[in-house]
Amino acid sequence: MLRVSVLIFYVFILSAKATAQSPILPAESSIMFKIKNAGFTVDGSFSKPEGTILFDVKNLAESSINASVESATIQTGIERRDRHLRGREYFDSPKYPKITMQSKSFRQVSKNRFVGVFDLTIRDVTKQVEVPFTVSKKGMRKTFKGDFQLNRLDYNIGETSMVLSDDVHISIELIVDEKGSSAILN
Amino acid sequence: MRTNHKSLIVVLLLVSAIIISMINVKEGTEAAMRVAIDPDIPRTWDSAAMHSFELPLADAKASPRAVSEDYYYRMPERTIYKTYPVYHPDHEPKGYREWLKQQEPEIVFDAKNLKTEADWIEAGKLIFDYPIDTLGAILSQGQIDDREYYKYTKVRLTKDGVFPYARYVITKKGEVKLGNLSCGMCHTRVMNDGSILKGAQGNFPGDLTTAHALQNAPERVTQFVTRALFAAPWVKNDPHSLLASSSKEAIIKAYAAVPEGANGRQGTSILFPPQVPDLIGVKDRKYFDHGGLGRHRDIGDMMRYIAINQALDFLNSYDGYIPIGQNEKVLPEPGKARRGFAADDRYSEEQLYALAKFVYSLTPPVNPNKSSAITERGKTIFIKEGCVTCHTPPVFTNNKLTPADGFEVPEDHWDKYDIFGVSVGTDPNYTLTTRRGTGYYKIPSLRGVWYRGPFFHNAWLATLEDVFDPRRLKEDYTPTAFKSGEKQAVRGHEFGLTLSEKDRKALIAYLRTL
Repeated sequence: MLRVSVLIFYVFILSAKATAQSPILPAESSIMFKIKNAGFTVDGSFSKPEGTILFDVKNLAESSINASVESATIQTGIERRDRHLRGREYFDSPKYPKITMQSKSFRQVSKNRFVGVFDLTIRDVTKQVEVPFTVSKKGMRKTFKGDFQLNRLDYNIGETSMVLSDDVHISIELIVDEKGSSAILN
Repeated sequence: MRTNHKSLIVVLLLVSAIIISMINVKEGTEAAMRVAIDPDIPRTWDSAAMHSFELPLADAKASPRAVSEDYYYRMPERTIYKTYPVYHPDHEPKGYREWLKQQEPEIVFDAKNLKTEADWIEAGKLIFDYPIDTLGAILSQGQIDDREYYKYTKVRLTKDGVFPYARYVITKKGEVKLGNLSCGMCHTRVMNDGSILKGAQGNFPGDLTTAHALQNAPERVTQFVTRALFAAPWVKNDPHSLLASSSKEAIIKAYAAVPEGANGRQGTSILFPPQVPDLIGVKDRKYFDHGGLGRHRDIGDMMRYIAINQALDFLNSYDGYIPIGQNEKVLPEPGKARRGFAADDRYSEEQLYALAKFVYSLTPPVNPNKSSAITERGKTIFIKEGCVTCHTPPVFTNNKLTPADGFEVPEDHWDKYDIFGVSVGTDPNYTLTTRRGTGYYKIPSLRGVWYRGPFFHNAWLATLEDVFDPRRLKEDYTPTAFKSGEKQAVRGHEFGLTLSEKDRKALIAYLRTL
């Protein structure tokens, strides 16, 4: 009986560890992008990404990163341009308020380096993207940093342009505090 | 040393090859112009093409309905006679008028004589300067002979004392008439050195000339002319109808306020007077008019735009309102429209084609502003500040329409037209309250800003320095070109206003190289 109880306890602990979701800290996380316009790089950002991360190096199959950000938070340093980017020709924020990323799978490439496959949804287009990222830990805080590139035209962001590049470089930094984790038993 | 000689020879050979190839290209172009052509001239007033030519107005129910194809082609065609220069009284050659009276009328446009591209362009140039009015629609012989007129208007003359905005016409021997309303009247610019630039943003003070002419007119005439030109009675509290029912003094004051470089042509406004468009480079633009009223899909559209502007839109029906219709409601018989508005005849198809060819052939003058380290810095600022998004090289416009504040883009417009879906916050009145107002403003090309001005669609700002002067946003600002009478902020297009002085100067220096 005792052995059965100990086994159940361990299963419970392992299960709890694998399913501990941590909320992304919106104010401390960031999403930046760079795009070439007439040969010069324009820097921009989206602010206050939200979501949850459940990431266990030893159990990548059960890990997940789900994040979203409001497209209307875009900023490029020129207010009128931002207003235009929120409009119908670009992000159409009133109609498509959220940009979302949902992980599908992960693989480990070195101790702290991983590659995730995500469903990235912008406007009404969902496409799979591969995102190489690192994970670092300081105390209870975990930082996920990833970079990838996408073709804005794949997501109907603007149109072909003589000056604006199709390719956009995205840098994402998501921070979670595992003190805020919630264990889900299922 | 031998290596240096070899290098020099290679460089010289390369330079020679480039020069020879440039000469060949020039000669090739000139040779092509001399080849006989058999032009396929579009039908101007084709019902289907006319139907899709113009954008709807901001208030779609009042969108202009042009006269029918049948009506149009029942109007008589214009005959193009030889014209002669007009001089300031102090510069007119002795005995000139008497000499003119001895001249036989001479028809100078005959499509049968036009064989080559160059012939068509040259013929188009004659039509460009051909007056479609000899009744004094804007300018009278009395004014030309009155030295006070020149003092009142400060009208520019060429270095030879020629008044380049009008021509004398002889349609009958012994009768010399002062001609008005040629394309060249508004699209001729006298430069500071007295030279002439055809097709540029013109600087004839047309509305000041009208103000001068109306001083001796009865009030009811002043009101009638103003209403026919500008009223848009479907607009709520139509400011133009209100102006047209104002006192003669108030109306004259409004005309007199319009600066050179702006022009209240029919259907536009003297309360929000549009900049005269620069026709140089128009071939590369997709919309006509500040509000983008006309589409420019091919040379046929260019011909349609000319025909409408010269001056068939007086006969348009705007939700039943016909500006020069009988009782503003009934279309006159073809060719019987009230005289003085140039809507009683039309250009022939060949004339319109030649005119369009001439307009397409216009090229800018040699730009004296050369590249330098400062302009290169300005170019970088131009890109980094995002100017390049709307003013995209090489035409320096993205050829799109921006909705004005207060105008909601209708759903079906997104697929039909080239919409840049954000307002730049400039005054919306021109495009919301005039007969040509679509609710949009066309994003203008920056080509040739070095020889142009005033700037902004209502010609408020005399110079590029004024455009980038942040003081223009303040309520106590006095606009440097068009002044509506009071101090007012010139809002909108607030790009570049926070630049340092050094960067601002560099940006302006760059813009002057375009």
